[in-house]
Amino acid sequence: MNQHLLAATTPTAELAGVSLAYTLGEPVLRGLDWRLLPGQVVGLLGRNGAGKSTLLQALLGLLEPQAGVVRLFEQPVGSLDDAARSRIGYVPQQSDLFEAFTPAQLLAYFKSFYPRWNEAKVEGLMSRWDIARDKRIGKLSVGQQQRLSIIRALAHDPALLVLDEPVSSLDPAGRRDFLSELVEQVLERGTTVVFSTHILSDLERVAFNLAFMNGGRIALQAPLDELLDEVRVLTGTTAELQALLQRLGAQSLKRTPLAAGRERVLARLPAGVHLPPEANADAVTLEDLFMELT
Amino acid sequence: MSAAVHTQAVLMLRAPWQWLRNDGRGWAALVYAALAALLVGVLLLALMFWVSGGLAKILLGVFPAIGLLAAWWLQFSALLRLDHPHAARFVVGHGRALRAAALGLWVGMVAFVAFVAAMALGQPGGSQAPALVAAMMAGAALLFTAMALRWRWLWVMLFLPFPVFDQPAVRAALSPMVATVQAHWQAHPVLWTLLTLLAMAAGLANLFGKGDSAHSRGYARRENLRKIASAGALGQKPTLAAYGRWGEVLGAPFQSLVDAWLAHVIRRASPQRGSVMARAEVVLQGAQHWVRQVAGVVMVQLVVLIGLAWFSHGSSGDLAMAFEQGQAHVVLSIGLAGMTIAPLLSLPGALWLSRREQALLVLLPGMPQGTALNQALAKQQLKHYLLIWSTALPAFVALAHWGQAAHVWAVVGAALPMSALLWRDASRLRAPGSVLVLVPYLLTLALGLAFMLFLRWHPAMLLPWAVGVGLLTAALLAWRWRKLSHWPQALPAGRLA
Repeated sequence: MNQHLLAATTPTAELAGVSLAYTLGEPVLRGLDWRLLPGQVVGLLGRNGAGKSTLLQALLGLLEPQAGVVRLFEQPVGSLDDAARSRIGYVPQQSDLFEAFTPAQLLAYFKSFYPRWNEAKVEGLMSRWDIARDKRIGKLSVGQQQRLSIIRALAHDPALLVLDEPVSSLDPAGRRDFLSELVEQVLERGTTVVFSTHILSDLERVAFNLAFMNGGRIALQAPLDELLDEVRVLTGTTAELQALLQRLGAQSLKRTPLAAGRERVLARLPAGVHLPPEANADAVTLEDLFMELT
Repeated sequence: MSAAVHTQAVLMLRAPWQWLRNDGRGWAALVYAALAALLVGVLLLALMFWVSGGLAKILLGVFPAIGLLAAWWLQFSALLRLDHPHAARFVVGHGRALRAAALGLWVGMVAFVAFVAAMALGQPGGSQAPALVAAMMAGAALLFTAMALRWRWLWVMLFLPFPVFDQPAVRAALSPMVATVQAHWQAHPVLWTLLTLLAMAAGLANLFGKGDSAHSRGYARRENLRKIASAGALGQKPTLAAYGRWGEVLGAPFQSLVDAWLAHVIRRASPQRGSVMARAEVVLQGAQHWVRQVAGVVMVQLVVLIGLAWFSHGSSGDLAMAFEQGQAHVVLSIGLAGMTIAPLLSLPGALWLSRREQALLVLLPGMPQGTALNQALAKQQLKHYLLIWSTALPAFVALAHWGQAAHVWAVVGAALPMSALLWRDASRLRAPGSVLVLVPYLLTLALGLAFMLFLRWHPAMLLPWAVGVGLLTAALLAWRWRKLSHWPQALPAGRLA
């Protein structure tokens, strides 16, 4: 487990009972509770339309929930002071922003607002990712626009980095570069990172924690390694499985009825508990977890 | 024509109406149709009661012709939009259906014009010439419109014949050819008319693409222009760069001005609210930034002032007479006043367009929040409006001086209290629609016309009127200012809509 997470006591972000619906729409977030601890790297997973972007925007105070409380750095998100705002980095889903600016203008523009600006990091990434400085952003490829957006978000060394599908337009090499940069950021500065993505292989490489979003709530959040070790798919009769789960003290995550009084249960075993050899159990992959929990 | 192609062609002809319905603009189309019907009704009444016989006949022909051309314009534009290079290459029968739709409509319209001409101008048992000539003229006009919708530069050709064919040498050179064509046509009018129409139909059928790279390029160009026109209808004047490479070259001076301003505000950056908002406005106003608009207003004024000086002192004729009597000054003042209310139309649209960037702006340290942001934004918008308004004033001073007419101030005066319309709840902003854009224009025009009547009858009341307009503006702004402190934080715009 991440050492920063162990050391942390005060959450970077805290959402309690957050409900949010768009005008004339169904609620997207329904009494959602969530905590992000310093140095935590969280991959946010959910089906299309599950509300991941809405959650990230509510987390940053860009959308006001109808109920509940959102706090960042122990401050209400609606009235963050300048010091708190200078500790936030955000990469929105859309990369085609500030199209009339050149990358050089964009970086100078953002630099003018922040008290701290890591020029060496910016220069290094601009050269390594080969971004033309004086070409209008509207004329860059989508991948380059996304890279630039990432550089902009990392440049002031944020303590909280929120990334909404940051790698959707990057090729595998670009994704690898981005992920290594992210890991470096976390290891060097203990940055809290939360990012949504559909590319599960990236999460396997980077996300120490996974948060599965379903029904407007965080259905489950746990470190990836723990989930792969502890979650099993059990198949048997309802009575057998009920007895087994009780005996092991396992948590049922999802039950799927099968024919002839049988069922399939996605269960999380307590740490260090092993299944008896006669149990009909299968290990799960991240893709299985995504399909079952979102 | 197979049944499948026929069905597809009919669906294609329905497309523009269904787009209106899908965009939720069906009701707007009904409003426009009702207004057009009202206009036609008024014109018909005018023709019946007030216009002399000969002129009435001409107008009776001209108005339906304009209507026919407008309908063709709308339908053929839609067909060109449907002529997507991918569909041309991969959808079986797509090209055939497009050609069938275009040709079917064209033949129908040409036949209709020929029939009406035969009924109105022909005599029983007499010559078919009027109907045949009308058919050829209608066919040519429709074909030219279709071609010019595909190749926009052809519109310039409309103006070429006047200076070129007006030259005696050109007319002398062409007259033998014209005489030969006339002789052939008069010998076999039906045959030559049919051959001409067939050639036009072949030309029309060839206007659609083949799915190759030239088709892709042409389609992309047309789509770009269509999007610019749609944005323009919503008060969003795009930068010249949006028009392609030449637009970019022509727009470079304006872009350089904005770049220089951006460099200036970054260089002078400080945590003070004024500095923060000056940097934020570069993003919030985007292509409608005041530096660009002021430059535009200055350029237009220069052209108007040069024109005014020339017409007032150096020319003769009806137009000069109109200037001497001050009528043209009043007409110009209405046109120029439109320029002063441009921010009223463009700023809400710019806020809407920059709403995604605003998500990043509000997270920046130094950006005001809540009511403070609402107030800072409102001040910035008002400053922008007043700057454009006052930049346009020299032209009105010149108009008032040369026209000797107090009422040239009427519409620009009416634009001042309209500034209160700028202050609205931006958090509930919706995508601007054409009707909403029209409302401020119509309101300004209505108030301006009322002021115009007042100043025409009471020119000596100019100063009290100006004080009254100032007081009205201050009262309206004070009322809106109190309201905006109760609204939710303005940015990101439209998030509560």
